[in-house]
Amino acid sequence: MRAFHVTFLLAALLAGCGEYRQSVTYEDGGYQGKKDTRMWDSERFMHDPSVWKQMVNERTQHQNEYVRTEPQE
Amino acid sequence: MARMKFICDVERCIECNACVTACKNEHEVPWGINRRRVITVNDGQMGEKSVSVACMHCTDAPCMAVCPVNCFYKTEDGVVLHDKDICIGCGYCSYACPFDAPQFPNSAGKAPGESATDFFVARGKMDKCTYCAGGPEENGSEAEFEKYGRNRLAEGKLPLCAEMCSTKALLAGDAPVIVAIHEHRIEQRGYGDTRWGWDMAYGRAENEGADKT
Amino acid sequence: MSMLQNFLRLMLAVCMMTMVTVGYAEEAVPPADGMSSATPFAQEEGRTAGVKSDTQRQAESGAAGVTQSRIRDAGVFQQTQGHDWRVLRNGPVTFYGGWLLMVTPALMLAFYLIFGPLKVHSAPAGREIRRFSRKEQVVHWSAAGSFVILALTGIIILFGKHVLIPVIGHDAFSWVAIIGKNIHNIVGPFFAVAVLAMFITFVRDNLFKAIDLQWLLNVHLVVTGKKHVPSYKYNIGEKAWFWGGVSFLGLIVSASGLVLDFPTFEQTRQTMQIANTVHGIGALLFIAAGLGHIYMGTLGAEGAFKAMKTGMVDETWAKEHHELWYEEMKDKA
Repeated sequence: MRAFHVTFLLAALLAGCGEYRQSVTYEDGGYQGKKDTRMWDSERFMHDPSVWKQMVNERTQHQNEYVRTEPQE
Repeated sequence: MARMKFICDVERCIECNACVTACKNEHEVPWGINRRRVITVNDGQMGEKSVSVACMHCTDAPCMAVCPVNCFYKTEDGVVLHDKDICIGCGYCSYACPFDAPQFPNSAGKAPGESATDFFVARGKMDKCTYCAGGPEENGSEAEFEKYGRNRLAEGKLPLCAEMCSTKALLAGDAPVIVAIHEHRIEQRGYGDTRWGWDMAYGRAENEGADKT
Repeated sequence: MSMLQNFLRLMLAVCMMTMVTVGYAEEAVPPADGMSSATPFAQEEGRTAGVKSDTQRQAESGAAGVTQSRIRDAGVFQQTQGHDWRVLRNGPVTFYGGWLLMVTPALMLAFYLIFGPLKVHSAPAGREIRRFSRKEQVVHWSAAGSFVILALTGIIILFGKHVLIPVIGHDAFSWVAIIGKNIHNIVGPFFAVAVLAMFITFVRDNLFKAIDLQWLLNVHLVVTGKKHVPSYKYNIGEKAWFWGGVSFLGLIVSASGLVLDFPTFEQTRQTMQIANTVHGIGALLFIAAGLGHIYMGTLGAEGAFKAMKTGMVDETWAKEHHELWYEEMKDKA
């Protein structure tokens, strides 16, 4: 029993020595880490990321004053 | 998905500090913390330039890598957020950050005339720019506002500092969209700088910089 | 204050240079080479990528500008040293430090299994003499107790996220780390005082004597118990721990720890990075050496633990381990 405990402890300690990423892995477009409500997860955007993205991108164009001097179409 | 970034067009920034004030007001940031600040180089000389700096929401975020409790996380949109319930106030993220974005209520800055109260370093919970995207609490809730400030992204808005910038020097939004705006601008005026801080913030791939021995 | 700060900074820099050279030599991470076409966001960079004005270069290399923000260092647009620190801390310090803390106990276990503890050969005399005064005991156990607390809480801060988070999760580990951090910060200065008291109390008996050289030349025979070299109150092994461990590493760890513990003197981020690296490397070596000392004080040598616990040793023990000291004591009595 004691041998088992020692083995377990050593194995657990050894696990800490593995070589792996130390930051939370993030892949482009993926989500990890904490539980959080998504930005589009509300009635306003009908829980649809594309609606949210379209609205944000439209709003981004408000920062572009050339859309006023050079109207598209 | 979108990849949210900031561009500060230094040819346009006039050091009005309105972004700083807007941020402080919108999020009711505590005394001594500047989530955004404006730096002027060569002040009063030839080649004077002003640049507005905040968290750049790095691709390979150093704060994430050094946090001993992994309190940082990243959304699909590339926004680097943190969980104040988990933060232990060790200060490591502030040593690692290139842009001095994570700050601590007691030690990082003091209100003018306020004496230091943090012997034994109860630094409190770290505070940083959230790209107006709040934190892990429910979007738009009272708890979220108290800890992280307003969640404008969940309302379909963009960070206030950029949206209210008088000269539109500060651009925020999905990277290809704001880069297109910026490029168009450079074409029109025929000169301009590159995007300050982008090499540092986005030049390294995910987890490229570290964690190798 | 500024003189003290400069002195501290200089000292830290010197320590860092001597201690970290090996760590840096192992460094194989290539520096970020600007915007190469291989970077994932190259297509977003557009046509002006890579063109930099002198002003931008200046600001990005860490030159300070003017700002309204009152935070220390606020005028610096971008610091590059943070990345170096991150690579060093997350890389070699964590990796080799982890192995050091694994290999040291394993070696001691192997040593114990192969050679066994150092035994007292003759029968106990039954008469006891005082080896440690009450004062020496108090000083020793204050330092020892705080050392163990600091080592455990420090290990949690450096290795906890690799070992404990996968087991107990983020929320529970956060509480462990918060409590650990605060204990570490409060016990730290106490340990610095204890180390100073240790030095003052034990330095007289730890000065080098001619006989120590003989012990050192026969070290392989002595530690395996095959040969006996007489010594005064402390042999060279104990003196090595006193000078290299308690005094040198104790000073380094205490000084760098105090810099980290009281960030209220406008320390810059660079100072904190250096202090943190020195503190981490120093502490890991200190813990490894401390494990050796703990082994010799408990399992490794018969009667050693009782000596520090009660302050008394058997005459036979004294004669076999520290013959010259025993004779000194006999002459006095």
